[in-house]
Amino acid sequence: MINKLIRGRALKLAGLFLVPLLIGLSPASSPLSDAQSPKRPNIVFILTDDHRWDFMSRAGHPVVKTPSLDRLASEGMLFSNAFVTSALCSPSRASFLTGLYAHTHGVQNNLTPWRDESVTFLELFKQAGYDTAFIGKWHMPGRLPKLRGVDLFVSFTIQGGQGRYWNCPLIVNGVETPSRNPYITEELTDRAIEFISQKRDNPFCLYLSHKAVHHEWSPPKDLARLYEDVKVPYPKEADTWVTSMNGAVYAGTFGRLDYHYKNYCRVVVDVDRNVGRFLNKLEELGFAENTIVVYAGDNGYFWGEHRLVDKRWAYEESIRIPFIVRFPRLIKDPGRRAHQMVLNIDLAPSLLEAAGLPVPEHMQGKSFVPILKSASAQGRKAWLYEYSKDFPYNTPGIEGVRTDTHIYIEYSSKRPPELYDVVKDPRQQRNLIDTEEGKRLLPEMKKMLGDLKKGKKFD
Amino acid sequence: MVKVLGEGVGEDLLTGRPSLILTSLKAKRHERLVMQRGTFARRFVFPTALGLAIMLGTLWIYNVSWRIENDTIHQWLAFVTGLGHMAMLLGGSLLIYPIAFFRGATLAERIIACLVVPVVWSATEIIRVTEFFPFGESLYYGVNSQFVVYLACAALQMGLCEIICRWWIRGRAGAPAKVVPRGAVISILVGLVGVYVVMIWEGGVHWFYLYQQGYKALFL
Repeated sequence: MINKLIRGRALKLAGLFLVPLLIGLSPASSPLSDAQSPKRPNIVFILTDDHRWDFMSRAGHPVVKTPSLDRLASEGMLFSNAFVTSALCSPSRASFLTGLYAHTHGVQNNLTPWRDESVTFLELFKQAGYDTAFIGKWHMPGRLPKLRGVDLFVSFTIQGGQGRYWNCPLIVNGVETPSRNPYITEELTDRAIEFISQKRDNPFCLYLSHKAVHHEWSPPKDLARLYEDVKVPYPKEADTWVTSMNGAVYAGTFGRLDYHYKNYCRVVVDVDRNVGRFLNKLEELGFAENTIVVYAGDNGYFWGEHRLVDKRWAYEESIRIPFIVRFPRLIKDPGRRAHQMVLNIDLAPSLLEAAGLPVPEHMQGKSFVPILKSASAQGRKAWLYEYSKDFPYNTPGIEGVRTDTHIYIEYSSKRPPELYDVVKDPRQQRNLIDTEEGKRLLPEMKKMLGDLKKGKKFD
Repeated sequence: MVKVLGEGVGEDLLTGRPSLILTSLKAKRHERLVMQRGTFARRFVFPTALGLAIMLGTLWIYNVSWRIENDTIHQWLAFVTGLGHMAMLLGGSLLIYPIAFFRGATLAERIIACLVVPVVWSATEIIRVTEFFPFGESLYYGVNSQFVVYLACAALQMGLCEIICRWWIRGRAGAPAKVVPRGAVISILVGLVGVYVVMIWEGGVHWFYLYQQGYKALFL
């Protein structure tokens, strides 16, 4: 016990000097003393895979019912304009962890490996005296890393790191461990609950990353027939086999659209009830008031829109994510919807700022803490979308710029560029590029894209 | 399958070897059932072209059907053509092989006729994905899991059809040397193993990751 205390103090002391060293700040400017006060918040980040922004009842979905996420949003804040800077699991996850664009952190697709020198927000929280845990899907190319600053690292490598829904073997701090609960979402939630239930003196920072709701969408048995008789209003351009034709099968969707769609909905419902279970425990333990809970998806998903399945493309269904933040200490008007644009790269700087820790200068995201505090806080004006070719998926390299009202998209292939007014045409059906309006807007959008690529921010 | 060469003498069209024709073949009924080797167009071009026409035609109609304003027509057309396209790729040999067989195609012709459909499909896929990948990678894309599954299905079905067609002939028109030739059995086994490894083993993910390892080794 004494050894543990000494070790803990030593780590905090080391953190006091190491954090500023790593991030280029002077020790005097670091508000660590504040972070070490008894009121410093716990951090819980729940990340799901391929959960599209509107598959929540709070977001108006016609089929899916998600009472726990709705509760989280009503007690906190739903960001209705949340996006990922790259709509693909590995790059997006690395962006959440590091606060960096994919071209900076280097995980540009599912083939380019994670760089061990990358600094995660977990590492920074650890250096600030937090107990930290990474539980769930890592799924970045290369071996499972030895993450610095993570006390508990529970993940899986089976099926290329995708894991599986049933009896998924885990790797707990480097040791192969069988799953205790046959269903992955419940197993990971159980382990997250165990982590927050441990007796401790330090605050905790938990990264809970579900395999769900990624394919192969295998729901728990009691949900296997949920929504069976519901008629889903699919987009006009979709059809039964859009999940199976023209290279779509690489998304793991061979078969009928309706079959996969409903299983996806069922898995979302199961995530929701596990989020509910976790939130109840948080409350039971008395942590709810002083814990920042963030729920997000790593990218969206097409269900026939644009005759596509999967994600990757720079259309709204793919780049928008569910994003909910609950932090009673900071959000004084719970239930508000924030309309400012926030990004996956904003998570790390925001959590650090909310916890009173310094935000490293190298992070490319912008803290959304001012938006939590005030509805009138200024949002960013534009941001860069990027997607790198990812063999064998049928999508070219993409770069684009998204503003409050428009998105301009360029492809690495011969495919012509596209420009959409996302306010008047939210389903992006009318490419403006050759219209008078498009010709008028194009120079500014192109310039903005060029500036963003050079690192300029439009915050 | 026997081509009649003379009184009581024939040529086994499956193997090309001489074969005795049973006396019962002299009966009129049997004459209809004994396959005369058709012309090249009839025994090879026709079944091949039929398979190709269904595969390519259904794909084309499927890909334009969404432009139809009437949603009911669009949905039905897409359903039928999408199903037809996939059925042709997954099970086309069940149609092509017997036609070629009963029109007197040789073993090599029957096999080639069945393989043309997946090979042409793969070629169209290679052309399609050159939008996304350089030429070498597009070629590698052409041997993706789907293509391997189609080849495995073709092997499985060719073996099955060979046995069924021989059995059918023996029952009605005389006996070829063997109803269950070794080649057909091997073909069935290869097909079953291929389908299992690529499609069924953990839903195909293991094979997919092997395929990706191949990509990394070749192109990264």
